[in-house]
Amino acid sequence: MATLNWTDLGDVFYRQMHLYDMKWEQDLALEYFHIAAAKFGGPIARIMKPKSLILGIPKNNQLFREYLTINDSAGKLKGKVIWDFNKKFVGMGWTNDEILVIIFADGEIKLLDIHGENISFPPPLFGTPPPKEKEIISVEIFENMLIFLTADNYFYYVRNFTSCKPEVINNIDKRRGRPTCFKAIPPNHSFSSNLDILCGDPNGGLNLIQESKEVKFFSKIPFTNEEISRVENIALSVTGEYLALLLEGSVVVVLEANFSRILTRIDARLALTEIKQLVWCGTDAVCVVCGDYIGILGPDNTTAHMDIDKKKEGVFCVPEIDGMRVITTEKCEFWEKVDEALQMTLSIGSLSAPALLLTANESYLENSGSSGESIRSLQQNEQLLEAVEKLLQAASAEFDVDSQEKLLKAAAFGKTFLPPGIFESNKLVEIVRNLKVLNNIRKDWVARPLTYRQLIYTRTNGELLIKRLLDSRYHFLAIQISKLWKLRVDEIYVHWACVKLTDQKYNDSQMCDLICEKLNSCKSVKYTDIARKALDYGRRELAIKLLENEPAISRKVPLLLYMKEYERALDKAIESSDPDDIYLVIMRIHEEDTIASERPDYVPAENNSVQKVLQKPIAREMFLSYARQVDEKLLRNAFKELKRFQDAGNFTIEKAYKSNLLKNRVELLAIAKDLYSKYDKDPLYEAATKEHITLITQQKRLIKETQDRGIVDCSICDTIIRLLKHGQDQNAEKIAKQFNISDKKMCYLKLRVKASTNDWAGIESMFKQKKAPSIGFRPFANILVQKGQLELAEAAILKVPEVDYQITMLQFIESYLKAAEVAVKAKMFDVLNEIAQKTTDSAVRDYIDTVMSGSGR
Amino acid sequence: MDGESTARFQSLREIARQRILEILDMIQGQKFLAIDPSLVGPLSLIIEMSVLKEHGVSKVSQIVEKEIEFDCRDVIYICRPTIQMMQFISGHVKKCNEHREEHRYHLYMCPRSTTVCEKILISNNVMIDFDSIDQINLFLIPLENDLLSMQMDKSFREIVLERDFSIYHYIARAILQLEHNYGPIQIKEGKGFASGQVLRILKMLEEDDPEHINEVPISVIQSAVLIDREIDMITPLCTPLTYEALIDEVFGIANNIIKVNPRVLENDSDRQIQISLTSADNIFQEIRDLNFCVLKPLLIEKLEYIDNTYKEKDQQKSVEELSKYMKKFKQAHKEASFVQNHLHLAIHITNETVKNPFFNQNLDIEHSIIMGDSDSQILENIERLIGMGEDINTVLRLLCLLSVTQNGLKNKFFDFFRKEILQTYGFEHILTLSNLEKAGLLKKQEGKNNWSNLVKAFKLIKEDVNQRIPDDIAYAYAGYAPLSLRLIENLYISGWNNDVVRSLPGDYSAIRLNTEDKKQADKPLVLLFFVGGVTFAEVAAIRYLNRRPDAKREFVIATTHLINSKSFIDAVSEKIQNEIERSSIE
Repeated sequence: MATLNWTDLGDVFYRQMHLYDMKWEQDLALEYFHIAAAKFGGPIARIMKPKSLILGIPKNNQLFREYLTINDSAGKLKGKVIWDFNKKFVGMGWTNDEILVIIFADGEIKLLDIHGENISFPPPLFGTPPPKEKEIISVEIFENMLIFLTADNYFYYVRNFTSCKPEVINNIDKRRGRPTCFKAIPPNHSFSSNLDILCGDPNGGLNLIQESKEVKFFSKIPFTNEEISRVENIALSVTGEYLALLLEGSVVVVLEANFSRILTRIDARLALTEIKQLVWCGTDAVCVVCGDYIGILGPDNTTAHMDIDKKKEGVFCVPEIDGMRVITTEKCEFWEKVDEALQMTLSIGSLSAPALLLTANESYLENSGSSGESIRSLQQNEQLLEAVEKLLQAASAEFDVDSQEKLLKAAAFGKTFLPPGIFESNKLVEIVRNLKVLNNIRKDWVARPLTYRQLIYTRTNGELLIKRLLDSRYHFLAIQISKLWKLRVDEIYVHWACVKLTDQKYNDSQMCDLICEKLNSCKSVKYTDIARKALDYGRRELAIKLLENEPAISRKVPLLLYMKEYERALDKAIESSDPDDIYLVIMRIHEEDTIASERPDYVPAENNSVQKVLQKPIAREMFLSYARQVDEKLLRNAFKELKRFQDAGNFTIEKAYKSNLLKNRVELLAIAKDLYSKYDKDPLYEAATKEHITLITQQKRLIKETQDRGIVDCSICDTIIRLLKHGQDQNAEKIAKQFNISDKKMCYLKLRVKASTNDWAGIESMFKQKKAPSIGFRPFANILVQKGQLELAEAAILKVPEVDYQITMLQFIESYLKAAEVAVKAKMFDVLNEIAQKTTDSAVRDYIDTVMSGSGR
Repeated sequence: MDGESTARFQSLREIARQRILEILDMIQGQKFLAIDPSLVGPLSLIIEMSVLKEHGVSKVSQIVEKEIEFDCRDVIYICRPTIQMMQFISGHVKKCNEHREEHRYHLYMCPRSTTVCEKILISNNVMIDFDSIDQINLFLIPLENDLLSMQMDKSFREIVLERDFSIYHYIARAILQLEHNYGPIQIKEGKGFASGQVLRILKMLEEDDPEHINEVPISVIQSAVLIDREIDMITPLCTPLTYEALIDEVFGIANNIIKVNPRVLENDSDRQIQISLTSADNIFQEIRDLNFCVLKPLLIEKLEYIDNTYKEKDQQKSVEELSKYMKKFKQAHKEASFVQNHLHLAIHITNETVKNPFFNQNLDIEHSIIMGDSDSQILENIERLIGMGEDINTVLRLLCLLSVTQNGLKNKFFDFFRKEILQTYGFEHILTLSNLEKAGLLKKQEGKNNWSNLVKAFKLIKEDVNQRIPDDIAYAYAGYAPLSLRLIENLYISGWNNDVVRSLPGDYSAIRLNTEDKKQADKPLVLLFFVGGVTFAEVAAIRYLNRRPDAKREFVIATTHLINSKSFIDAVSEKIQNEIERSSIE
């Protein structure tokens, strides 16, 4: 086991591990290139620096004179894109989703996948031509965001690559000069708990930039008062916790990202060579890259350096969460701090528990007999569990398969001596399973050199590994891994099918069979997604075939609409009964219809889509409700089509009352009347509307005589009431006659008018006439009670024939004696008790007592 | 109620609450919250204003057509997925863009986001302005431990007038959400057109469900029974007589809260007083479902008890006695204000209702309609109400009740009353009449009258019901047993496979899951889902069924919304502003 390439840095070790021999198509020195590499062992993008072109160094190299190339970690070409070297390139980088974002000075932006294919074609950030002051100076791709600085010292970000809308973060006064460099700090580690931008001031010091807040300037580092000279470069650890500042004169200051503490300050003493990169190696050390020398700056001022063995100029380091990738023309290495468990186990002459267990296992395998003793001693010191656990940890930190195996076997051996239940066996299984995955993806053909920790990180952050494998089209591997981890595989199959579609070898039905056969084993596959892709490739028939296999109805609808299969879409939407589907179809049909009707040669087709919607009961009602909300004309046409004259009339009435201009209203009423006239099932609607129009004419006439404008658009009864109140009895009678108001009704109205004008005598004469009023006595009694005219009310109550009513009402107006008398007369003796309880009048009680004793109760 | 059932459905509230907090916390700094007016009430049941403030909400405003002034960079909209809302919101965004105001918009639709809404934003060219568009899956809100409501006040109108399918879909999703949270419901059955549609959609959703409900390890609810309001439109037209139902009739309960004129409470505040009516008020919990006639003596008794407790203050001797007394005193003190409030409310309601002869006269008319008395007297009485210009809502309610019980009004009377209404209350009510006819509430008589058969078969009338100590559900309506509830009782006595049940509108439908039985409680839990609304008196009567010593199952209630006789008619009425600009009259 190799501890040879371990380098000590204080009391820890760093090691460089060889991963791959690079398979670049042509091994040009890396220093000729702009390079961007994705985290988590991701792809490497390269573009030739224009300077190198002019210098003519790669003289006859067509590939790099024309293309941007994308390679994997082992240098295998994954994609190439024709490059326009006349455009002013500013920067590029990979997002967390492994989208390559490339930015040009004029605001043009390119989004590519790992194969160099355009993901979308976003518009330029500031339009064309861009304003001069918005020339882009520098960029950073941060997580899934783009942050950039423009010539007028404004910082922007783009948080969403589908819209690519730049939003201002803040600006720095132009007079301060252009920032030397900048870096974004994520909210969970930043000074302000928001997204902070740190940028170096050309005159020394740091500016802290936050959204819609004033820019803070630091000439000294807060809490420590360390003077900050000109900042040349800033590096943030991948986890975002730590910050390294490269100051003028090769001084590196390492601090916590929120400024709470300075961790170390080292003079890198490299002034003679240009520092090319300042990179974090995990979270424990910062590396300065210059020429063929990489200096490692650890905590407590510890330093070390490691040499790179290379033939051609240029090194590129990629920070990872727990180390860094070092890429040269020849090879790809991984540098990391040696895992503590690995160090414990493998350090020469180590007497740690795991080292002992490892030795014990070795001697056991060699049958040397000394193993029992070691195990016993570990057991006695209660170190066996620790030994097993450390060995597992060490195994997970190993890249070499043989070493992994050795360590795992030793751990398994130790485990057998542990009492049952102490050690969770799942843990061992889990580690073996994950190592199996790692060993596979680290192989040259996949070239995803993840560490164990990185693997766990990608797993807990949305199964990133699977997504990346799909991006690279390693479907089989992705399915194997998913099954091992018990993840869903349906989306992998869909992804596979979508890629398969590009294969021109098969005709539509062969392709459909091929896909269905493969996907048969997997339920809940979204065939719609595949069909949509087929459609994108112009294979409509295939899309329809695929769609027939889709089990979920509502997923079919949008695609059928997209294919303009409106009738099918409508049927499916109705079948699903999802209102969203139905409305979606209706909307599309309406849109199409509107566009068609705007054409000059438009002739409404027989049985067009709109008519078809109207033929289906459920869709019909929803169409009407949609039309009501968006398009009046559409609604009217639909009513006409359906011969729904009543609804059309109703809608017109509604509109009539929304207008508060009389002329408008009357006109609309007339239209409504005509519509109602075609509704022969119920003549009342037409008649009533006609009557109302006549009424309004009459009312307008009456304004002159009454000077009462409020009379307009009252009901007939209210009109009569108003007239009576104005003393226009004759006009009232006329209206009554014209509109067939019965005498009985008139009697009510007169009573109401008299009550509201406190004309009690009038009311009295009304019900004390010889002839009983046509409306009976109750209305009189009720209204008099309500108005508190109790004396008169009593008289009216006594005229009402129902005894129950009399008794209740008399009690209510507290005419207890009368109530008692009525009760006696009607022989309702039960009521007497009730009355006796309520009254305080002794005369009434006496009366009741007398009656009760008289009747023997 | 035991501990388990008190917290039973609170997790629904908790999930929604967490979701809203998550939405708020996702955005740093202050944010402006704009809410769909129809969601303000429901959301107030989920999360308190003070909590919104704590999570950075600077201001809350209702989404209206006209511009809103946003005072923060981030604007969060929460709305129902309707075309109208999308148009309002698009309008706001466009206006702000015109004024070059930079905002970040976030849109959350409740209970789900729809493609249609997104399309509208796209066609209005504002889609690009939204940072996030997502949903809040809030379907059922627990109003009480045994009462869940979707709080969709327009749902009955949408069902009977607009014939909009959305509501069926939402109900199906609501039930699915219950199954996700509380395990599969073995039997789901229902009667009526709406129930059938809901179950049909639910079946499709269950089949296409990515999180399979059978994987939920528990099964809290054994069965669900869906009742379509269209089967029983009689009950909501009747006057209820339980305390909570009467509070609702008189004050209108909205989201567990009533607003009361301070004079009613003998309070000298100059603003309306809000009273929260939930089981947290233990006095209310005790009396909410009682028939009104027993209320006053009970409250007075309570008041006397409290009074006596206060008086005992000086009689305590030993320390032990004193500490015991303090407990009693604290309890009494807590209850005192509750009792006071309820006494005031009860007095007000008494004066408005049972002590008011005019209320009773109307109640008599209602009673004769239910009893199936001869028409002439009833018609005469209604005519008199119209003649005297009684509130149109009351008149329509009685006419509808007559029409629904008699399968329509005779042609002659139908026309007579419609004319009477138009001539008395105004021509614009023609739209309401049309709506009522479409809803089947007020129509021309057709076919045979089934009412007397129903009354007999379901024993809908129980005049000798004991209103003080209930012995039948009829106590809630003073002698009338709600048809909806008799139907449910009937399901467990004779089943629904008989001619009387078949004579009610709509078919029977059911979904039975064939999964192994999960552990069931001794008393199975049955969910009654009222599609189109439930009244507080029905709720009270169901609680009475739960309390019966011979109860074999426990009912919990779910509904689209709560209704009373007023809101039921209002929902299908057309609100028209009859205003004329004076200058337009020449």
